[in-house]
Amino acid sequence: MIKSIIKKVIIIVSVMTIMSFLNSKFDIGFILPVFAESGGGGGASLVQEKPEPLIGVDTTSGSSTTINEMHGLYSNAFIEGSYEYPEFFMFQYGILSSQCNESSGLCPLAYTPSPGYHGNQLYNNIFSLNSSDTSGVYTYASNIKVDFDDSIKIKNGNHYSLLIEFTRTSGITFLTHTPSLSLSTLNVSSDVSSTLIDATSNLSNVNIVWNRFTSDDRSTNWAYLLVEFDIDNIDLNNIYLQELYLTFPDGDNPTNVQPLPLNYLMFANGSSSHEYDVDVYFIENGDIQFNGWNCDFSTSTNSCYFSDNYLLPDYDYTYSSDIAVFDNLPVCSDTDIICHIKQAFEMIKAFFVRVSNYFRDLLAPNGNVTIAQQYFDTFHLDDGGLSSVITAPLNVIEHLDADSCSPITLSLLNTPIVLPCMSSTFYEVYFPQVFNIYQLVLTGFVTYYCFLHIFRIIRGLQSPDYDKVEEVDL
Amino acid sequence: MNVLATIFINIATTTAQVLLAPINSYIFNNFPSLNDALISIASLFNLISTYLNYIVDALGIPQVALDVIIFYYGFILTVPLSIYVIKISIKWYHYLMP
Repeated sequence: MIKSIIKKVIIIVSVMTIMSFLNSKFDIGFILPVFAESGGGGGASLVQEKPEPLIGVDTTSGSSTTINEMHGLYSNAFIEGSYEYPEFFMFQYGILSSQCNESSGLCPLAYTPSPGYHGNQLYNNIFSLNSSDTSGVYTYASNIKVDFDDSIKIKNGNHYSLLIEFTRTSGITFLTHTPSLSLSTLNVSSDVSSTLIDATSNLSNVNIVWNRFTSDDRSTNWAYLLVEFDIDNIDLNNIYLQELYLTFPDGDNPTNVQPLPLNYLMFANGSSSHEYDVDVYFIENGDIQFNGWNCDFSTSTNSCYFSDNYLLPDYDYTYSSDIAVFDNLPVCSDTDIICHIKQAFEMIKAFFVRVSNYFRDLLAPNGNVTIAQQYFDTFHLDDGGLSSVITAPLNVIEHLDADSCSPITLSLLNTPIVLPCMSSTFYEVYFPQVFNIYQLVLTGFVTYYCFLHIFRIIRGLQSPDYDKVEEVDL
Repeated sequence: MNVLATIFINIATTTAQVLLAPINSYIFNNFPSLNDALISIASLFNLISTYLNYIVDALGIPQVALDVIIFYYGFILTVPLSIYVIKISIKWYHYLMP
C-alpha cells in the first residue's frame, strides 16, 4: 500500500517536473495551462529577498545598547555605541562628511582625548560631539553594519574572540539629516548587499587604507591611526572575526593602544614616525588565521607589505593530529575496498586520539579554558543532534497539521521549475467531480480505519487488566 | 483534539531534549562530526517536512482526513496513557487501603 502510494507520488512529481521543464524550454503551456502559469515564458525567476536596508543605529538591539557619542576623523566620523565585554551587541559605523572641515583636517567637534576604558565599557573617543550640540546638518552614510549578536565563539581568559557579521552597502548613500542625537532617527536607504568577510580568500586582496592624523593644534602629541579594510572583490560568504593588534618592533611603545574588534585601530604615541606591525586576526570555525602586515608609517609615506599568512593551531590546545580527520578523509570509489578499509582505520585512530585528548585536557588544562568548562559553557538543550533525531518524526506530524501546501521550486539546468499545488490548480480545476468523489472515499476509508482502531482501544480500556499503552514507533 | 496532539508533541519533544541534553552536549563538544551526522538525519526529516504538505496535497488527501489522522494519533498517544495512570492509581489505592 505504502509502496504503491510512493510510486504514484514519484510518478506524479516526475511527470510534472518533465512537463514543467519542457514547457519552460519549448513553451507548451497551451497544452496544459497549469504548467504555463508556473514555468512558462522561459521560467519564473527566483526572487531573492534583499536584506533589510541599513539603519543608522539600532537602539533596539540589546538592552545595554547606548548610542551616546559621535566621533569624527577628518572627513570621516564614526557613530557608535559603547559596548561591553563580554556581551557585545550590534555596532554600526558610518561616515559623517559635512560636519568636518577637510581643508584644515580638523573637525569642529568637541575633542575628547580620552580613549580608554571607562568601567567595563570601552569608548572610542576620537572626536566627540557634545550631546548638547544638536545644530547643523549632518550627512550620514552607513556602509557597514556589524552585528555582534550571539557572536562570542571563543573565550580564553580575558580574551574574547568574536564572530562579526558584516553587512555592507553596495555604495555610499548620503542622507541629510538634522540630528537630535537620538540617532535612531538616522536612516540610510540604498541597495544593500549582504557581504561577509571571507578569511579563507586571498587576504592579500584586502586593501588596508592608512590614515594618519596628528592633532597639530592641540597640546598633546597624540596621533591616530585609522585602519580601514576595503573588503571589495572578496568572496564574502561566511562570518569571521577580524581583530587588529598593533606592536612596535622598534621598542617605542605607544600609549593607549586600542585593540579593537573592528576594522580600525587607534593608538596614540609621542612621535611622528614609526614602523608598525599590524596583526590582523581572522577566525574561522575556531581556527585563528593570522595575517600580518609590516607598515612603515611616517608623516610622508604610509607603506605596508604583506608579511605573513599562516594558520595557527586550534585556539586553545595543541591537539594531536586529530583535526578534522573525519572531514578530510579522501573520497574513495565504490569499488576501492582498500581505500575504505584505510578510511575505517583512520577513523578509529582519530576516535582514540580524540578520546585521549579529551582526558588530557580534562586533567591538564591549558590556559583558562578546559574541556570541562567548555562543556558547561556550551551546554544547551538544543545543540545536539541526538534529541533532534528522536523528535524528528514528531516534528513531521506537527508540520502536517501546521503547514499548508506551498509550490515547490526546483532548479533544472539553471531553469527554475515551479511545481504548483495540485489540488487547487489541477484537480479541482480539471476534474472537480472525480476529485470530490476521490476525497469522499479517501476520507471514509481513513475515518473508518482510525475510528475502528480507536473503538478497539476503548473496548480494551474497559478491561481492568488492560494496560497496553500506545507509543509512537520512533 | 489537534491542540491536544500538539501539546503532547511539544511535551515529548521537550522531554527528549531534557533527558538527552547531557549526551547531546558531550557529543556536540567532543564529537562534532558525529553531531553533524546526527543533525543530517534530522535535516532529512526537515526536508521531508518541507515537501510533506506538497505530497499530501498532490495525493489529494482532504483536510478532514488529515484532521482525523491527527486526532487518531492524539487520541491513542494520550487517552490510553491517562486511563492507565488512573487505573494504576486505583490499584495502588486498593492495595494501600486496609
